[in-house]
Amino acid sequence: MRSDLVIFGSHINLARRSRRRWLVLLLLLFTVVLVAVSWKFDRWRGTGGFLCFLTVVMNRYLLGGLQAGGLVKPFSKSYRPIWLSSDPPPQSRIDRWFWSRAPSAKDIESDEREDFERDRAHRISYRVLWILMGIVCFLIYLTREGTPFGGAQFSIDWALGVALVGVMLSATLPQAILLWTEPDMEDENCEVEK
Amino acid sequence: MRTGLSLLGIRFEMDRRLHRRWLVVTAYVLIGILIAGEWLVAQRWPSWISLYVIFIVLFGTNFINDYLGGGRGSTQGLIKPFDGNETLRKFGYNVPSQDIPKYLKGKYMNDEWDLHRRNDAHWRAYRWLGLMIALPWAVAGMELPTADMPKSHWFSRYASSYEYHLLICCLLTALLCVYITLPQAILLWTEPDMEEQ
Repeated sequence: MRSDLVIFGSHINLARRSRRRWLVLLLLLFTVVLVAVSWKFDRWRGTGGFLCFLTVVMNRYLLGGLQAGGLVKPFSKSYRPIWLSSDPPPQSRIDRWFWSRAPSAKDIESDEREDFERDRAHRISYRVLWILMGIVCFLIYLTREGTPFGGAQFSIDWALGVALVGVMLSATLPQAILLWTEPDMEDENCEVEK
Repeated sequence: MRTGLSLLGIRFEMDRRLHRRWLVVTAYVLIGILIAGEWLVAQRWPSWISLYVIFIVLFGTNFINDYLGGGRGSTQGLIKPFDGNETLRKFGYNVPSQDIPKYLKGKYMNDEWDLHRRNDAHWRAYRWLGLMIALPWAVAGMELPTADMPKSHWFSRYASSYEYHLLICCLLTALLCVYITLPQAILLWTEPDMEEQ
């Protein structure tokens, strides 16, 4: 895991766990606000897709995990971006806002301990997703069939909303768990600045 | 992971991977039969009774999983409970420790290799099923345009038919069944041949 984050050119030291937890909470708050705005705007109909795209951007520049670029190293061992083959790797203008230098192969290789932590985070996420999936399926069922004892008809909006949250969480929850649980680490800023 | 499975008093040796793979295939065939049964029963009783049928399918899947695979709390299947060490700690034992009685150790205790394999199986399962949550999202999303479509449109007619409703119910139930069983299936499928205990 990287210990520093570059946002629009300014360095933020995230070696301490408390800081990483603040980052997770801020991202969560940001996402909740966006989901609420999306509900107000069009009840997740068109803007839901935009929110999913936002998680991709979030992973690319902040969280990592699914792509190289964020705090967490890529989960998949087979992930080999094409830019790794050139030395030094090219860095786009946008990347410079989020990386002090272009990531190298060393930056995305994970060791055995990191693999174990990755798997553990996915195990916790799996449980959360399983619960969400059950809720979504039940809500879809209630919308289509009606409540068994003649209660009020459910709107599909609820199922759509929970499913949207599920899709967003499926792409970001393991990274958030890792950022939340990893202990304080040594500051790597000096090395980065060299 | 255990090497033997006892079903109705008959013992099956499962130390070879091939046998375990056959067990996984059998379990999924049984779950497939349950879902096919859901389809047939729900066609016969097209009312909310199908909710009970869904619960029966999920309960049946859980039963198959507990008695063949294990992993999720049951001590009957081949795989020890994933949270076995936490259960031992609840009993007041310090894990890992030599003081744990042998029968509890054999039933619950996961060593470092077991924990590694358990987490790895969840990581592999998550890679597939993390994406699968997009399916109910798509299903919920499909409800929206059909409400605005003219009733004569073919999809609007199909979406309001009972067959479509059944298809959605069975698809989502199948997805939940896979969610219940996939990490255990991956473990049973990938664990190499082992020496008989």
